[in-house]
Amino acid sequence: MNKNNFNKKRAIISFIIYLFPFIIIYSPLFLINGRKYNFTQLFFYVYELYNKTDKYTFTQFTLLQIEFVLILLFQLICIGYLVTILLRKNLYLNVAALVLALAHLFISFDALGTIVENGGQMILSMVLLIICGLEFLITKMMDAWPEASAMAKERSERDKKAKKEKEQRLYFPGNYPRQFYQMMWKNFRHDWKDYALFLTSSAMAAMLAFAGAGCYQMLAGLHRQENFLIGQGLGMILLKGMIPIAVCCCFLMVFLLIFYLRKWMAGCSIFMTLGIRRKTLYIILAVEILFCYLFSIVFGSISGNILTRFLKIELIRELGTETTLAPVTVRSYLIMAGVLTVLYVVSLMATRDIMREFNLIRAAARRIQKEKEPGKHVKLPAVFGVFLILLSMILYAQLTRHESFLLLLLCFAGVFLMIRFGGTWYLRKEKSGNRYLAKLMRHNHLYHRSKTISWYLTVLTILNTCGIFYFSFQIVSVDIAEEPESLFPYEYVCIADEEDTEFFDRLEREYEVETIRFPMVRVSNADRTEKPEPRQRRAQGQQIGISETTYHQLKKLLDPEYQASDLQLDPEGERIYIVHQQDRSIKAQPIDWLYGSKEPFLHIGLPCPSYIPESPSRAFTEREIAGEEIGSLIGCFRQGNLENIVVFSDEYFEEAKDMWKYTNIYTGDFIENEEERIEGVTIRQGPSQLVLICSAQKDLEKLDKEMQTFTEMHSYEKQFDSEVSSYYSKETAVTDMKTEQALTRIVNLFVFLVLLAAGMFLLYVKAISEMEEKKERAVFLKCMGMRRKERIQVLRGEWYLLFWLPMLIALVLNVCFTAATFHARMYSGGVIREYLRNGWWTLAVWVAAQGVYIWILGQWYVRKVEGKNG
Amino acid sequence: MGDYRKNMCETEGEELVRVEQLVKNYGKAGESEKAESAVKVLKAVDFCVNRQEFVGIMGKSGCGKTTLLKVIGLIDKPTSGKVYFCGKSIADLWSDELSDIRRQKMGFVFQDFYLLDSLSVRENIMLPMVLDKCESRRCTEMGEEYARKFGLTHLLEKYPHELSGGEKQRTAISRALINNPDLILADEPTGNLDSKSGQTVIEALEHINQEMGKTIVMVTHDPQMASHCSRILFLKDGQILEDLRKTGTTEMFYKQILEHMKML
Repeated sequence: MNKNNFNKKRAIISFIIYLFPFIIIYSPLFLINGRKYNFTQLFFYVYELYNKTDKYTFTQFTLLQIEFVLILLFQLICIGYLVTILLRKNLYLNVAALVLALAHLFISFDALGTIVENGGQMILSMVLLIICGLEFLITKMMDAWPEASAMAKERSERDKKAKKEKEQRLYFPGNYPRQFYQMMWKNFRHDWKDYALFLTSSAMAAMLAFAGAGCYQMLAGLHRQENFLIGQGLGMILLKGMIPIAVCCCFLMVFLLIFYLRKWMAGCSIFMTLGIRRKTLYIILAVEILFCYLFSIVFGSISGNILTRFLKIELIRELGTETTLAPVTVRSYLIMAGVLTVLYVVSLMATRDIMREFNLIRAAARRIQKEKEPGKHVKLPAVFGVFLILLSMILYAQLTRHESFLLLLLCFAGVFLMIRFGGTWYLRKEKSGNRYLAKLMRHNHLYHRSKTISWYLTVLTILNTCGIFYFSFQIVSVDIAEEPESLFPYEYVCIADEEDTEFFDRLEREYEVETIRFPMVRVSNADRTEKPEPRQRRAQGQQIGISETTYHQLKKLLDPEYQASDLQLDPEGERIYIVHQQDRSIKAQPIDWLYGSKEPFLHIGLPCPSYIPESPSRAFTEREIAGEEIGSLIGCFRQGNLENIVVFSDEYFEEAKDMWKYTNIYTGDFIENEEERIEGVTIRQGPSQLVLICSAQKDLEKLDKEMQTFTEMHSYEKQFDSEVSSYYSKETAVTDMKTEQALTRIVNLFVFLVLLAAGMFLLYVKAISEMEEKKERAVFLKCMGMRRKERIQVLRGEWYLLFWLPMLIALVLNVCFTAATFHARMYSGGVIREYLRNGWWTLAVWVAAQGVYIWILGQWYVRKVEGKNG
Repeated sequence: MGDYRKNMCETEGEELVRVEQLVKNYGKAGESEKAESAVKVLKAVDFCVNRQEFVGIMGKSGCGKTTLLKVIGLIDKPTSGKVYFCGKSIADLWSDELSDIRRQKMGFVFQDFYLLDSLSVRENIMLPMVLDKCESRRCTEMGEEYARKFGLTHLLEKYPHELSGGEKQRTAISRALINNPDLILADEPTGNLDSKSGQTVIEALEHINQEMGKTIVMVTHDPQMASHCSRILFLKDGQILEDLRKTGTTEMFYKQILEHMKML
């Protein structure tokens, strides 16, 4: 292309693009008080108001002035750039314009952003930035275009030539004869047992995925709300159960795939030596894996269906025979296929990386080498491991940590360090002592296979701990949870305001209804999530604020013998008392999570959409918790996540009731100027009455309809959070709770059994993967004159280590973490005793099943290695 | 093109394998071959093998005999230096081309036989032809022919675990020959055999070399077996100590080998 023509084209494009900033700057984009202004008009409008009124602060106006100067400078640079284009000169003014546009983006958020009402500043900033960026990129691309296209052409020709050469050099026409396929089939059949292990794990994963999806489908219709994104509903319960199963399956599949591939590669090394094409080998492997995948889909569909039917029977037994469960549709099959596909992709990728990283392909063909022991410094990592374990326990015992599984992972990391480095520490000590030679054969595998043994022990400890503590606790805590009916003392709980008085009066007149009314304020907390979120996405929670007097009255309503005692609250509202409204099966959780702070950040009033915790605003202040309890005061409608009770001192509560009159509904800040306190625009009262309704059973149906009318009058509340409602019904809540508890019990029992089976499977794989090596050793030791009894002792010692050590560690962890959970959930002595009465069987089943299994497998293992008569 | 490989050797004259300044190291776990700490197995080895030669490689355990054989057999890549097969540097070839050469131009005989336990004797023999996409009937015919040549006809349907050591090695030799290769690589082919079976195998190899005109490179510890070779390379600490050529009778050569072995 001619260079002059090219530059001309570039100049025309730059010129056209740089006209747009002027169009946007002089367009009326900014809305203030119902009128739209362009940027210049807006500046002078604000300038006038700033001089005459105190509507705008000094900071706001100063920032606006800076922004004004920036925009002015930007325009001058743009004009300059257009002139340089016409003069065919390049002074890089477009780069300067881009920098200014970027600077404007940062400043406009705090300047224009606090003044305009429609977010026009975002449009201005983004458009300026995009236009400048676009022009810069397009012109750069146009400059580089001739060279790039020539290079591309050259590369394409080079690639074509290389491809042609490759085709010529690697030309291998014809088809493999039928003997080839026969041989491959025979070879495959020879290693069938190893393949079958992988096939079994994959088929089990498919079955479990189908059963999980099926259960979810059956129950989804029974529950009030399903929202994976905000972590609500049955989906979340199921997900929490299915994730460990998926991790377990993934781990097993990777493990078995590596095991299979190592054998496969060893077998295939003959083919490789004899000159088989790599592609052919990969195709054979791909066919084997594809068959496994397809078989798993079919097997998963059939066996998953059978399992789902059993689960359906169990669910109906849990929920009552009158319950109608939704049918399992094609969706479950699709979910299963999707889950299995993800599992395969993850497993294959992980296997590939692990095999490359550890050079297992080559290692498969080599003699087995001694595994590398840790370096000199083992004490420090071992002590650090113990520290991690203790730290995780201490944190787990805190209510503010949400019983996070991450803490368990921290503990498992500590366990690994302890086993790997602590074990080496112990062995080195033993080696330097007198008894080393006496234990030479018994502990030889610990020296020789230190890394493998550490991993096995850690994984088995993890499985044991998850089984006997984490998932068992979920199962047992559902068993000891209060009866759902007892957690909802009132038929309806309404979050109302003064305008609803007439509505409730009418209900009392027309139905057999008794209403109990208490004053309340809406209390918002800064962060209802459990993890750090980006500034703009942090969701605020909503709680119910009441006075100390109301608290004692509500307590008295529940228990006529209740004796009120001082809650130690202060008139400034800094000290509060919290009732976490949740049942015993729900994990301990704070009412507010903001950077994991122990004290909640609370605001009196509705949530503030424009509030950001990082801003200097003090709308949400940190309160000190004078006391807290877990249980039901008016009803566990949102299981501790929302609608908990926050108790203030009577004096502060009186003050809090009127705070809405001067609180900005967007920022939560105090509005100093009384004229700016416009109800419905800058201020809003929100709920002020807590109405508890007791009614006769016969009126419930009609009352439900009445409540629909009530909801329509309070539609604005749902704007902030669809989980927050203006009224809660006992009947719905009880059904939801029963469904959730049933699913929690079944899912966790399911996971418990899967983990138990996974541990057994792992032990079986270990046994068969080391069988040949142990057989060779047995022959060697026999030649060396070692007695059969002694050989068996060595073998059993190695084998049972895999049982007693992980079990012992898991038992200790179980005791500590169970105690930590009791503390976090504030279980009373009676509840703890009930837990122990209900929970002993999970431990007994686990230990007994593992013990019996390892004994049977041990007998088989010894017989296989040593033969019947040695 | 397929012909390109088939004709590769014929166009390059008498020299079949040439090794120049060959270095082979084995990196320790997780380390590169070129690292300082790597184990240096072969140290700048130079030699060449001509057509129809029967070359023996001798040396103490760990001196690099098998490594050298693996590099010549295109199984392992050299750390540095050049290896030429039929005049072509193997560094310039893709891995699939190396596979093709191994399949079509080379035959392997190992000490531990390296037979597939899952395949019968017949299938083990014809495996290289099968991998070379030869026609089914021809595979069978050739398999039977080589079985007959090495006295394995009555064992064709048996599996490796049902054979004696000598029978296994004869199966491996049949397999090595079935694609009519230019080079036979044998790694201690008699190492696992009793003296009678060993004698049968070495005679078979001698026959292959002299009657069939095949080039053989054999690694061995046994001076008796080595005396059947036409030339011996003595390896010590990864370097060639001596290149001994047979000039007289086998017995004389045997004595010469014994003399040289004292130096190792």
